[in-house]
Amino acid sequence: MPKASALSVMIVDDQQSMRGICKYILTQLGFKDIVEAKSGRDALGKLEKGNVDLIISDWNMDDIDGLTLLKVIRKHPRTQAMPFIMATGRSDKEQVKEAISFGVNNYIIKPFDASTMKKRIEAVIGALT
Amino acid sequence: MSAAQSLPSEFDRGIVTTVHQGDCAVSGDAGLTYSTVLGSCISACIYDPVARVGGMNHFLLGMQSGTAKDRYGASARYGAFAMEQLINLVLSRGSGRKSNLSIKVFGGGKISAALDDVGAKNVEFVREFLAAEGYAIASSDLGGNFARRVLFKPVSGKAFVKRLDSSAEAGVAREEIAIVRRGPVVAPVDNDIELF
Repeated sequence: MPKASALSVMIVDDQQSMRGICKYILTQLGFKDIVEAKSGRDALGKLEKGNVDLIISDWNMDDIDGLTLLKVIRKHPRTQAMPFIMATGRSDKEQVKEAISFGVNNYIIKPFDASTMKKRIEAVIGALT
Repeated sequence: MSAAQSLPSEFDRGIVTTVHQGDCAVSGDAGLTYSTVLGSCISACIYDPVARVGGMNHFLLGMQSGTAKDRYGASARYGAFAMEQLINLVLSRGSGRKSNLSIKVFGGGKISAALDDVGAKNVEFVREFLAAEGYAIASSDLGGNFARRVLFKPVSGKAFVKRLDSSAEAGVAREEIAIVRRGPVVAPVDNDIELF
């Protein structure tokens, strides 16, 4: 069983408040190594320096959106197996289906709480300790 | 006196759609006006003048989890999601550029002793949220000891605010007290796409 405190997570969102909320919840779940990326481009730059164990990305971003980020990550041999959860609004069902077709591991609908986040993460990487 | 009697002549209401607490609506329809009544609640009216698309939300933070300083408590999270939802909908229907957005905010009045300073906390929340995200407030009518009706034309970005009298306030206060006690209305999450 993966230990949350031993895993690295990248939050990708262009809204500071959303990154803050996500970080707050992940901290509640026991994660300590949390990397914040302000955009899809920022995420790719940070991933060049090293892998993370999980990515939680917003869909709507100014430069490289969440779907494009997912496509780039799935194409690159080093990152193609990286667990990827897409955060999306409840009205974006078609977007979710599109993300599934491009290999997203799971999705989380906003607004979410710690319990929902935990379920989604555990569905991807296994029960957390 | 009705809101219509005070409207400027160029403000053609057309079809009026009410935006209730928890709602978020976006349109580029020239014949449409969004309408809402606010006591302690906040409505943001966001307009993209390039695409001539606008939207309105309506939310009330009960602050059950603390003050607005508690930025990531359940109540503030709800407000942040309400704002993000509106911003993203206007961006996706509009030009897609955040720098084009014009943001007006209304509400946060103190209309009942039973609601204590909920209105002020809602005002503090929306100001802090917009500042943190780098958005300027184009115009606002916030706080005070009264309820408001806000009309917003999504195709022009024009907003009209009418302060309501005490008889109208009583009804608004009753609704808001009920919301604060039970928590905000959040539409059930549509989770019918199962992955695993």
